[in-house]
Amino acid sequence: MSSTTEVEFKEFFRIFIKNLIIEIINLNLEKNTNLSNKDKEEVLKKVHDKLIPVIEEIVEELEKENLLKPDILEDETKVYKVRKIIIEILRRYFRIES
Amino acid sequence: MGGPATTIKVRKPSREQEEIVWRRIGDFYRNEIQRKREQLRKRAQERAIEFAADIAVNIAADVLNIMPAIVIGKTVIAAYEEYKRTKNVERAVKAGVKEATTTMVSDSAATIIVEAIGLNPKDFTGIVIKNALSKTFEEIHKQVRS
Repeated sequence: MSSTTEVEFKEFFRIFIKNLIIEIINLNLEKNTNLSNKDKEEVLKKVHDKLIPVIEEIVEELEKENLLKPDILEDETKVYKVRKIIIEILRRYFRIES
Repeated sequence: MGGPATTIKVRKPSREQEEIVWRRIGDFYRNEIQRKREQLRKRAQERAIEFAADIAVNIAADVLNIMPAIVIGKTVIAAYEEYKRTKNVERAVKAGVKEATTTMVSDSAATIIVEAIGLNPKDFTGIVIKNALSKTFEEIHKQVRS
């Protein structure tokens, strides 16, 4: 790899999803709890540990199905497939309402 | 055997000696109660952290469940494409945030979801998406350098 532009979409997507989740949790903890900064860090660490394997699996599965491409949003069937894969993986880890 | 019985004389402790013993017993219990209190506080704190982490993980799972097609996908693509085109991180982050904002405005479902997870849509695009994109570029730059 010689520049950021050569970073694959897959890698960019994976890192972004991880950071997005961490940021959502961060702001949520900030606004909706009165935990100390140290406790918040602890919570974030736990969330990180629990979510990373899930995100990895989602990204791997999407890649296997050839769905990690910037043009997938133009195709309704592909968008549906992405959602199906994500939901199936999440259901294996968490209690998700359909 | 058979010799005279030995008599052990026990002297009644003085008031001072008794007081020392009671003080030691008092200290022991005070420390014990303090230790148990600390133990309970620690356990409650651990439970609070575990509880908060469980809620947070569930929120994250809900976000992954509902959001990708609506906001996440469009945001990632806009930022990625802009970076590929301009090689400018700032512009790429801006493009992602703009895309997310447009989607939030045009799609009431996205707004409802963001509000349901306890955030307001402005913070979501202006803080969450912006920070997540900036950190993603930072991480990618680090990877490229190493």
